[in-house]
Amino acid sequence: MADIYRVTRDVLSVDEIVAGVTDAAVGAVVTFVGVVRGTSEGRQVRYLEYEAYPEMAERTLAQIGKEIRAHWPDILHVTIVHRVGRLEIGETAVVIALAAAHRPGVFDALRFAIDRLKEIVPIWKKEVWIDGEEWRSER
Amino acid sequence: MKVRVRFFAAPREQIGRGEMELEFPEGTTLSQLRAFLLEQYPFLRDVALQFAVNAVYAREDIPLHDGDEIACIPPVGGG
Repeated sequence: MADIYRVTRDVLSVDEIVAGVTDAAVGAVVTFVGVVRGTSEGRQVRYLEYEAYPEMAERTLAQIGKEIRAHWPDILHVTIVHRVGRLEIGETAVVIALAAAHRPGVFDALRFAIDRLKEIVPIWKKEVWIDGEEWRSER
Repeated sequence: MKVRVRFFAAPREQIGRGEMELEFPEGTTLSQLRAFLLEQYPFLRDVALQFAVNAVYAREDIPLHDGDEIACIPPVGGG
């Protein structure tokens, strides 16, 4: 099965994504699920607006997949999907799923994947509060 | 030559549009384009901008070509 690197406006289903990286060779699937939080530094968030440079975002997600495979050759399948558009509190913004025969290495690879995503993938997040809004970055 | 410049997030909102076509002499480099944009939109000086040429980060100054797509990438915030 082919790796999946996608930016979408559609609602994300963790179950579908996990099923998509699972086959008879797989014994371990780890997932990171990024969810919209209702508070940010003491402010109440109404919703988030995600924007991407889609062509480049998918390309950099694929680059992260390549880096994962170079560092952790035991990883069998990779899916990274990021949602864009307006997301409400509690909705899923990003899902990373990594599959391997056995668990060693997969947790490190997962941590690497989300850290790298936040570092290089051209996706932006605007927090909309009750009394204002701001584009946010951890960088 | 003509190039397409794309803006995202805060710079897109402040400039009021997501893309524009600009004409430059042959041989214009990325740093010259950057200087042009900072002059047109001084607020960009306060943004830690990176640039991508044809959807790949451009870490160095490179010559631009007709039809190139240059993206102004403010600090990213996915996840």
